[in-house]
This record gives sequence, structure tokens and C-alpha cells, in this order.
Amino acid sequence: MISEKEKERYDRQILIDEIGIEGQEKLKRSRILISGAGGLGSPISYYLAAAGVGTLRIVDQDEVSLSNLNRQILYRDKDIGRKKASAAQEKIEELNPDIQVEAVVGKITDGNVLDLSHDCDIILDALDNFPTRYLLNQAALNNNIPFIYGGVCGLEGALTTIIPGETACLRCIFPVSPPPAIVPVLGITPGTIGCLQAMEAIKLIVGIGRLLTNRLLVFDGFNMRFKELRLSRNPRCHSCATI
Amino acid sequence: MIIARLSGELCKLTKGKEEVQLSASDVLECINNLEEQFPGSKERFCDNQGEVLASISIFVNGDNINSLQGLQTPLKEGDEVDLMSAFAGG
Repeated sequence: MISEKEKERYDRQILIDEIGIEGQEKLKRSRILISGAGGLGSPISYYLAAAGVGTLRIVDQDEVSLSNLNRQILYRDKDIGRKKASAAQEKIEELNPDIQVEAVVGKITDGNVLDLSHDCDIILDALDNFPTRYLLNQAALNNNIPFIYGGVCGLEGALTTIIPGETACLRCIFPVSPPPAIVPVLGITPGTIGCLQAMEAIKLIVGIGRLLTNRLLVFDGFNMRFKELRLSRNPRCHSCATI
Repeated sequence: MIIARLSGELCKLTKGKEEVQLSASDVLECINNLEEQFPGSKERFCDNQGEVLASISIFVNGDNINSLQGLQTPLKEGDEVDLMSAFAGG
């Protein structure tokens, strides 16, 4: 049930016909895994918390460093050296004390990915590397949990929504990792992509709109252009062909 | 002319140009023409056997060439070819 205080807090989005009280209650009952509390994880966490998603599970093993602060807007100078997941929890609880934030300080591994994700409604990719993305992709497929990919480079980024068994999975789209590298990033790029991932998550939970399925939305900040690339399942995909 | 667009790190191959105009009758010729203009670029798209690297996705007018005719996918005036590797940053 939504309290009177919550009705006031979320009034402007409850006014959206497709959301309403019923949609707000769905958001309150939902639990979302945010895998990474960095450039993508910052806007994702803020906007999902502000929208009233009931439980956010935020996983990150790293500590805040000075070079994070051009894009990871969850943090301030005073947070340097703190565990990101803990600092993120503090900021998000300040923004919205009515939701639950579960901070997990640690690395996502083959051994814990199922435990971390099995009770979540959605897995949000806010990572900075492909090997861990593939772990989450497989966990999403095994547990039938929607997985929202996001990635950035420079002034460009992309996202897509993956529904297990229905759409192309991450391995259908990108069969192998790109070479490991420190990726250059302007903070606005993960800000843009992270916000769009959060939008997809809310649409999924509430059950509204046309999802970004079998479509890769590519943002080109150099030319201020969005482009849509069509995706399809790979019948020989190592991850999802048998699902 | 064909418009070839390179995303992310691949732009370094074309000295920062995200968009290159060239003539080509199919995707393979497009890659070969890029190699002529920007020597060394082909090895970022194809392996020694001339197959597209698994880490590279190529789209013609928004469709992945894996669902078309691969490197032999024909191109016509005004077609757009997107060459991209996965966006890994977060």
C-alpha cells in the first residue's frame, strides 16, 4: 500500500495515466540489482530511488578515487577512499529514506552471481567490463530475469533491454569481449545512458510502453544523434541458443 | 557514395573521423576502401582469413550483416554502414 506521504512524494509520476497508484505500488514492491556504482550506476541509483523502487541492491567492490568524480555523481571529494557501495547507500538513503538500499561490497563472481540476482526483478548493467557482464547475462538467462545492458566510450554509448528467451542476449550482440582498456568517458555520457536504462527499468516494472528489445540504441554525443540498430537472436549463441 | 560510421574506440582508426564517405559495392569493398584510406584499419575488423572478428559488429542500414549476406552484403548509393565494437565503459 502507498502511504499518504508516498502519494505526495510521487504525485507527479502518479499523475501519469499509465503509472497511477497501481504502477507506484508495483515500483514499491520491486527489487532491482544495480551491478556497479560508477558512472552508469550513479544516475541509475538516483533516479530509481527517486521514483520509489522499493529495494535497490547495489554491488561494487571498489573504493572512490579522485578520477571517478568527473562522472560518478554519487560521490564527493570527502568520499575518496570509501567503499563505493557504502557511500552510495548513504547518498541514496538521504535522497529517499522510504526505500531499502542493500549495499554489497564485493566483486560479482561466478560463485555469487546467482545469489546476488535470483530474487531481483531486473538486473541493471552498470559495469565497466565485459567478463562480468557475461556472468550477469548468463544469470539473467538462467533465472529468467530481464537484463538491461548499458555501455559507454567517450561521448558515445549504447543500451538495450534483454528479455530471456525472447530477445537477443548480450552474447548474441557481442559474442566476445572487446580488448580490455581504460575507457575514456565524459560524465554526461553515462549520465545519459544510465538515465535511459532507469527509464527502461521503470517501464518494465510498471508494464508500460514499448521496451528497447531487439534494438540497440546508440547515442552519439559528438553529433548529438541517436541511432537504432536492429538486433536478433543468434541461433548458435553459446549463452541462449538452448533457452 | 556510401557512409561508413565508426563508433567508440574504432574512430582512432580514422584519425577521429566518425563518418567516412566512400564508394563500395559490398561490405568487403567498404572495408578494403577504409584500409586504403586508413592503412592498418582492416586488421581491426577482420582476421587473417578475412572473416569479421567476433568483437566487431557491422550493420547495413541498421541490420547486422550476420542476418544479411555477411561481407558480401551488397551496398548501394546512400547506404549507411556502421562498424562498432562493444561499448565497455561504465
